[in-house]
Amino acid sequence: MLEQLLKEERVILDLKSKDKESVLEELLEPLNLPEERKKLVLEALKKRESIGSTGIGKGIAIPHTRSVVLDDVYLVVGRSKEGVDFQALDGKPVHLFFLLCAPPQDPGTRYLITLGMIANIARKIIKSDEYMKIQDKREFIDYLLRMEKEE
Amino acid sequence: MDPILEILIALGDIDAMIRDAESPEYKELGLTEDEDPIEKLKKLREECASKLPPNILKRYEKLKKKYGRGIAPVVGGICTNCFIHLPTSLVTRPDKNKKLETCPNCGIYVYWTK
Ligand SMILES: [Zn+2]
Repeated sequence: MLEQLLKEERVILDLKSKDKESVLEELLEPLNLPEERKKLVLEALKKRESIGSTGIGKGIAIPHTRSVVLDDVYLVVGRSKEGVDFQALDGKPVHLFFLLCAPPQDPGTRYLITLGMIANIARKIIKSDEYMKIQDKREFIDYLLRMEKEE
Repeated sequence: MDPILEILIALGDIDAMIRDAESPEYKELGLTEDEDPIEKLKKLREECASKLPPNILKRYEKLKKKYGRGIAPVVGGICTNCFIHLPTSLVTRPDKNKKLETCPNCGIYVYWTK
């Protein structure tokens, strides 16, 4: 499931944004949504953040939402070398983002299952700083998939 | 885009978030430390719903009671609430999303994703 969602064109190894709103916008870019739809997904993501940051700590954030304007489940992975102030739960800057968005209802609840997988990967990934070193998108994807399978 | 449709989309998104926040699968993930995310979402919902004309809100709530949602995306010409293929005359219209529309089969408000 994760394999189908992780695509090289949806990996950003060097995010430019420094603050919450602009990083959410930058993470939405690879989806190539028309401006009107992009704005609405951004609004939904911000609403989700407003009830509690998805910056789960240790440099990782999992912004996520559902939106009526989406036709499928999408995952974008972004890395920031300098880190982004994302009002994370531990107050630390965020270096790795997993943005997941989906339509209101998706057959097989791919959205919730994928969220679970990502949360799981995040817990394993923070044990080393390897994710900061990888320089190639394909390698990055392979690393994430390896982490997913690791016990 | 129709301005009412835009509010309905926001309301539909909030309702989907509430549904997730209430589901055990989502709670298990522990993605929010907040004690009461649902209360906050309900406040957002109230704010959003108050912007709608009463007759439209009433219809939305009725649909939500029946289907668990009041608005659904149309994907590839198919209403994702009742999974019926919408008539070609609707699918090919150039002014989609410019006025408020409902699925001719199930009556749900629709947003065209393409
Ligand atoms: Zn329908």
